[in-house]
Amino acid sequence: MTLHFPRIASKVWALLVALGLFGVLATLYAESLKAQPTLVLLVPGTPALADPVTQAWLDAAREEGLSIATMTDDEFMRYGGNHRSIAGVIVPDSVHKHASDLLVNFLHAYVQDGGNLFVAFDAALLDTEKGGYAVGQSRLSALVGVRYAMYGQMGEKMFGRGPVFGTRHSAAQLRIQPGKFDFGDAAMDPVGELTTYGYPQLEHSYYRTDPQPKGQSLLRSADKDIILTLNKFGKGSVLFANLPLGYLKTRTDGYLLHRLLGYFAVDVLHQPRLAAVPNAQGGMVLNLHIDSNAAQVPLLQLEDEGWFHTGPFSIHVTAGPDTSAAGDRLGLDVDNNPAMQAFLKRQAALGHEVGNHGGWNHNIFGNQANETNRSQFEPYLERNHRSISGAIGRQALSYSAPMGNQPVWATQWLQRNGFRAYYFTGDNGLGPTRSYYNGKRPESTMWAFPISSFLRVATFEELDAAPEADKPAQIGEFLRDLSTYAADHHVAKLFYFHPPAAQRYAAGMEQFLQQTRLLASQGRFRWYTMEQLASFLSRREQVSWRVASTAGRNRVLAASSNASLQELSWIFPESSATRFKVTQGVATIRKEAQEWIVTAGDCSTLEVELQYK
Amino acid sequence: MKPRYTLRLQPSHAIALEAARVALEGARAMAKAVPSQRALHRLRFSAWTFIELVAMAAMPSAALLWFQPWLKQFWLEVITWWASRLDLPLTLTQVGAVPALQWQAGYAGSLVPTAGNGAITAAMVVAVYAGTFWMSDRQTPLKYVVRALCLVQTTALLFFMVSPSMFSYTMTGHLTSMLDAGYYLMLAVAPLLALGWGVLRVPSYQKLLYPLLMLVYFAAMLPHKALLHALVLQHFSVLFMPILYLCFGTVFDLMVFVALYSWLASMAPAHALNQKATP
Repeated sequence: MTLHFPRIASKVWALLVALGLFGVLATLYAESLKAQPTLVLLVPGTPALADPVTQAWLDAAREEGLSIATMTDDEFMRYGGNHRSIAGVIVPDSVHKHASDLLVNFLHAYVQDGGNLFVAFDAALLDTEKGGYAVGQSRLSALVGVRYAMYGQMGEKMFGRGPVFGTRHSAAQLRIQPGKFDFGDAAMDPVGELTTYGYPQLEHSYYRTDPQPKGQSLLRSADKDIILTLNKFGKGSVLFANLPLGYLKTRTDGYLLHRLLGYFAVDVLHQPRLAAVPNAQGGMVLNLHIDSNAAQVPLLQLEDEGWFHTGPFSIHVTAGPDTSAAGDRLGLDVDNNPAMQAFLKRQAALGHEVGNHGGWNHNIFGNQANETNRSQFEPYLERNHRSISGAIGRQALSYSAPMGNQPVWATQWLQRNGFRAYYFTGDNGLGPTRSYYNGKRPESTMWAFPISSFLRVATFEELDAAPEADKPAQIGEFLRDLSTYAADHHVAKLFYFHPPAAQRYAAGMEQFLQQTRLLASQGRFRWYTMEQLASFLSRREQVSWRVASTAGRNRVLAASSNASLQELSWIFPESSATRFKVTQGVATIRKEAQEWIVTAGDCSTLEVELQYK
Repeated sequence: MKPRYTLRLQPSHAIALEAARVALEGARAMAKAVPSQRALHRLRFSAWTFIELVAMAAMPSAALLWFQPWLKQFWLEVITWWASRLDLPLTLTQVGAVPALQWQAGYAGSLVPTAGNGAITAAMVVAVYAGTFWMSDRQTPLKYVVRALCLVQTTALLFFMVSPSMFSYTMTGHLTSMLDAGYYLMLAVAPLLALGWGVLRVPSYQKLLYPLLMLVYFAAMLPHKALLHALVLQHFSVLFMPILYLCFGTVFDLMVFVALYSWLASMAPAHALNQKATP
C-alpha cells in the first residue's frame, strides 16, 4: 500500500517548517530576555566555569558583595539577547583570551548602545580563526581608548614589567586604602607607587601601550603605559585594566581585582552591594601575636593601663617553652605559667578571642616548618592547640602562622580541627577572603584574614629596617587613616602587632585608638575578632539576593537564606530610591553620607521596595 | 549443413519484407546527406593545433602569475577606493611586506545578527521556500536552486541561534579568500578555455582575444563582487556570510565562467569543427 499525499500537503508542510523555525527563534529570544539586571562575567563556554581564574573573579565579586552571574559567549550573542537588563559586562583575563571577530564587534555594539564593559589584560586578544594576535593592535583598542598589544609593531616586546603608579586623585577615585600607595618614595613625583608587604618593589606584567590615551588614565607604568583607564565610547563606558587581575588573585595578590571590581560596580554602574561586615558597620581586627616570654611584661602593663577594656581583639599565643632553639627557655610556656594562664582566661572572659600562634616554639616552627616535614612539625600545632584551648577552657578557632610560614599541611590541619579563620600575609590589603594557593582555591571553609600593611611593612618592628621615609611618625597616621577608611567604606581590615612594640610606638598607637574611639562614638566603627567575622561571612555566603525591576522606576530587593538574615546589610547609592518600604521580613533603613543602608532583622526572607516619589 | 527447417513465405509476407528493405535503403541514402551531431564529432590534432592550445593555456596563466602583485594591488586599491565612499570600515595594512585588507573588527556597525535580522530572514526564507511550491514544472531547475539556497540560509539561521560564538570567520578572511579563490579561478580559465574552446577552428586572434576579455571581466568583477559582499554583510549582518561564501563566492564565479564559455562556444561558426576550415 502506498500513501499518496495531495499536492496541497506539501504546501502545508512548507508552512509547518516556517512555523517551526519561528517557534525556535521565539523560544531562544524569550530565554535571552530572562537575563537579570546584574553584573555579567563573560566566559567563552561552560568548560571555562571550572577554571580557577573564573572562580577567582566570581569569589572576588561575591566577597565584595556584588550580584554577579556568568554568561557564555553564546548566551550573550544569541540574536542580541536582552542587553538592556545587564548592568555591566566583564571580560576576564586568562580565561577569555580568544574571541571571534563577531564577539569583538558585538562588544563594540553593546558599549556603543550604552552598555558598560570591564576588560582585563589579555581578554579577547586572540582571534578564534587562527588563534593569533591582531596585526596592528588589540581589536579592543578603540573601545578602551588606547592602543595596546601591538604585536605587529613590537613582537614579544609588547609586554612590559614594572611598578604601577597612580596619583592621589586616582587613589581617592579608586578608593584605594591607605598604605597601598607610596607617595614619598615614588620615582615619579607627584604620583605614588603601588606597594605590598614584604617586597621592595611590587612589579606587574602589562602590555605596552601608546602613551597618550584618549580616555582617563587612572594608573600607569614608569614608561607611561596605561595600566588602568576609564574610557567613554558611544553611549557607554569601558574600564580597561592592563593587568592579569584574576591570575594575580590565584597567586595571592587579589587586592586590585577586588578593588577594581568594586569601583566598576559601585562607582561606574551604581550597583547595590551586600556589606561584608554586620550592620554595614566598618571596623578592624587587631591581631596581637604573642611569640615569646618577652611579651609577658608588656602584656600585663597594657592590661594594667586598661588597654584590654576596648576591643574585642584577637590574641594569638605561641604556647611552648622555647622560641629560637630547643631548650632556650624563651617561650611563654603557658602550661607551666600560671600568670599567663590567668591572663588568657581574663581576656577570654572579657570577650577577646584567644587563638593559636602556630607551632609551640615560635622561631623554630617559623624557620623550619616546610612542605616536606609535616610529621615533624604537625605535633607542634597539636601541642599549641591543646595548651591554649586548655588555658581558656574552650577550643581555639583562629590561628596565625609564626613568621607567616603556613605550609599546606598546616592549613589542612586547621581545617580538620574546626578552625574558622587564620591570619594571612598574602592578598595584602584585602578584608577576609577565601584565599587561593598556587593557582587554586583549596577545599576549605576557613576565612583568610590578610594583613593591611603600611607600604612595605606590616607592623611596628619592621619599621626599623624600612627606608627613611617609612618612619614611626607615619604609622600612627596610617592606622588612623585605615580605621577611617574601614568606617567610611563599611569594610573590615586587619592590623597585627607584638605587645612589646606597643610601648615603643605608644604615640602612634594612641593616635590610632583615639580615632577608633571617635568613630565608634559615631556608630561607624567597631572592633571585630576573626571568629566573629568568619561566622558572619559564612552566614552571608548562604544568602541569595537580587534587585529586580518592578513597575516604573521602582525596584525590589529580595533576599532569602536558610539561616537568619540578621545584621546583613545592603548598601545602595543615594540615587537608587527616595524611600524604602519593607514588604516582607524585618529591616531597618538608614542613610549614611551618600548611601542608603538596609539592614535585615531576624528573618530568613526579606523584600524591600525601592520607591521613587 | 542442410537446414532443418525451411521458411516458406506467403506472397503477402514477401511483399511486405521487400517493402521494408526498400524503405531501409531509402533511409540509409538520406542519412548520408545529414552531418553527425557536433558534440559527437571527433577532431584530429595537428601539430599547429597543439602549439596553439599550449600557447593559449600557458601564456595568459604565465602573465597572470607574473602580474599577480600588481593585479592584487589593483584589487585592493579598487576596494579601498570604494570602501571610503561606501563607508565600509576597510583599510590597507602591511602583513610582512605584502599589503592586505583589514576590516576594522571593532567597528560598531551591524555585522552582528540581531533578533530583527533573524526574524526577518527566517520569514523571508520561509516565504521563498513556500513560494517554490507554486512554481511550475517548467521552472523545476530554478525551484531546486532556490530551495538549496533556502537550505543554506536556514542552516545559517540555526547556527546563529545555537552557537554564534563558534563563528570564527572574519570579514578580512572572507574578503581575502574571495579574492584569492577568484585569482585561482582566473589561473584556471585559460587552460579550461584552451581545452574546451581553443580546439575549435576559429581565427587565432579570437583564441587570444576572448580569453583575454574573459580575464579582464574577472579582474574587474572580483573586487566589486567582494565589495558587494562587504556591503551586504555590513548592512545585513554576518548571518549572510555562509550563503555568500558557499553560493555566491567561487561557485558563483565558476557558474559565470561556464555561462561565458557556453555563450562563446555557441557563437562559434558551424565550420569551426571542420578540419579543413581555414585557421
